[in-house]
Amino acid sequence: MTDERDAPELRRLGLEPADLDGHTIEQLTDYLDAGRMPADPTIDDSAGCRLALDALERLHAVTGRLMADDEAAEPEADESWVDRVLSGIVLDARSGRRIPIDSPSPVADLGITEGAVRGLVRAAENSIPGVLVGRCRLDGDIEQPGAPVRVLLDASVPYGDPISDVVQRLRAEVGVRLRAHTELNVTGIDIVIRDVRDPSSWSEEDRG
Amino acid sequence: MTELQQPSLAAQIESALRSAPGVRSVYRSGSLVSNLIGRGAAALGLGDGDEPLVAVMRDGESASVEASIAVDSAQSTTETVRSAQTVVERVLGAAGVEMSEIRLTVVHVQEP
Amino acid sequence: MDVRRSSNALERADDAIVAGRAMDGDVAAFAVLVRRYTPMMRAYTHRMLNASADVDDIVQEAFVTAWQRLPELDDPAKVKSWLMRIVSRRAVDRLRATRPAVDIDDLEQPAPSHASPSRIAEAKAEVQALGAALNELPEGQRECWVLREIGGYSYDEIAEELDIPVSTARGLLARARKYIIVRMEEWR
Repeated sequence: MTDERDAPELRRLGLEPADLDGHTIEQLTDYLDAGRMPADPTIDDSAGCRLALDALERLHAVTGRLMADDEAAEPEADESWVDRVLSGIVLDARSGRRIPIDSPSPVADLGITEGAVRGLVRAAENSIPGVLVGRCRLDGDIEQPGAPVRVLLDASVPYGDPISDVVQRLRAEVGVRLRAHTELNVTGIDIVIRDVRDPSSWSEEDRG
Repeated sequence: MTELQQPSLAAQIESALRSAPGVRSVYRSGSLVSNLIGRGAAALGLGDGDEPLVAVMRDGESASVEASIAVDSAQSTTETVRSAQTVVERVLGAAGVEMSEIRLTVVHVQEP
Repeated sequence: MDVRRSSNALERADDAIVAGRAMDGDVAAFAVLVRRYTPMMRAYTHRMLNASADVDDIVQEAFVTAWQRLPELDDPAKVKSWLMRIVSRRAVDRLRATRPAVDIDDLEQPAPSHASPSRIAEAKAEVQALGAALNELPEGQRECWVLREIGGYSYDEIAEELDIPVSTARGLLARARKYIIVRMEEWR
């Protein structure tokens, strides 16, 4: 039986059901994970349970600090490590589908890869300082001449200029490049802003 | 009967392609090179030295050609690749070979 | 545009942008992910293995797998937890390759350390106490604990990862928690 007037410090922490008014540590962990909802008076009113819950919460907090400390204690990835990782990679993925380019000659089969077009789209960022293009996708049957295609891309923009202006410029730049280098029937260019970057994070290279 | 052509015709085509207006690099045909910012083109696809990058399949008096190229962003890719086709045709013509088929794929559009 | 020019802006860009470019084939962006998450992945692998010998191999293999499988990542913003899962799988594979199966009946008892807490700040001592307690746990309990508390795996996922019944996973986790709590209390 619990005595509500027991000062918690005087009780020894016990972790078996006998100490926890019939509950298990597992149940208390699940209760904490659920944010103590819905409230369970058989737990909340049990001094033994409260002691154990406190210990579990402390453990949770310490675990968070352990993870942070562990990570901080690890050496940063230096250039030789990065090289080691990259050397294990086969640099041959991502060319994607082949987009046809028309030729009057019946024996010619001309084309440009989807990967090359994505690279083009991404290069639009060079025309607008501070903008970074992330993922880019071409939606539609690009292997079929004239088929409608939507271009979808993620972008990161610098804090400061109105986002809609930046998006408009980016959209225009992407459009110019697609028209210059492909025969795609682009019906739309959808831009999703993922990230607005703080100007203090810019370097000299970002400015203009 | 088709057989792989001796390197010389393929090598001629390769060097003609490299000097075609707007063409920056020639890659091994069928290689899946894509956007590789920071990795010099020299690091990839430029062959083991002896093997030709351009694939030429000879069949009697005609040949089919396949090549992958990187082009300049300053010109229209459409125009660049069409003129590359013309260049190849000329090389074959000069060798007295008819071009039965040509497959050219742009794998990279290079910014300045 | 070369790697140098992109590196400062890209280095600070958020995960969604960086992973998005990497999945499109941008090696410079992938290198950003390598620099950003190598310490975290090394730290996690250390905890799982409780030894430093194979950590770098495992983390490198995880990145190679990640590069190949990036196109499968639905939401590039989730690349961090996705990378954790990949390295976790690799670490567990390594563990399983070098020891017999994990069994709830494994009666191996943890070997308590007899080191006494030194005169360091209490907060730091707590973290060290937890670290020491983890080192003392038998393998099966430690793995379950690391997967759950650091990896964020569900009980079902732990069971699948370690190829054990869910009840075994729950049992190992309960034992691990009790041991750790008791050890942590001893240090207070």
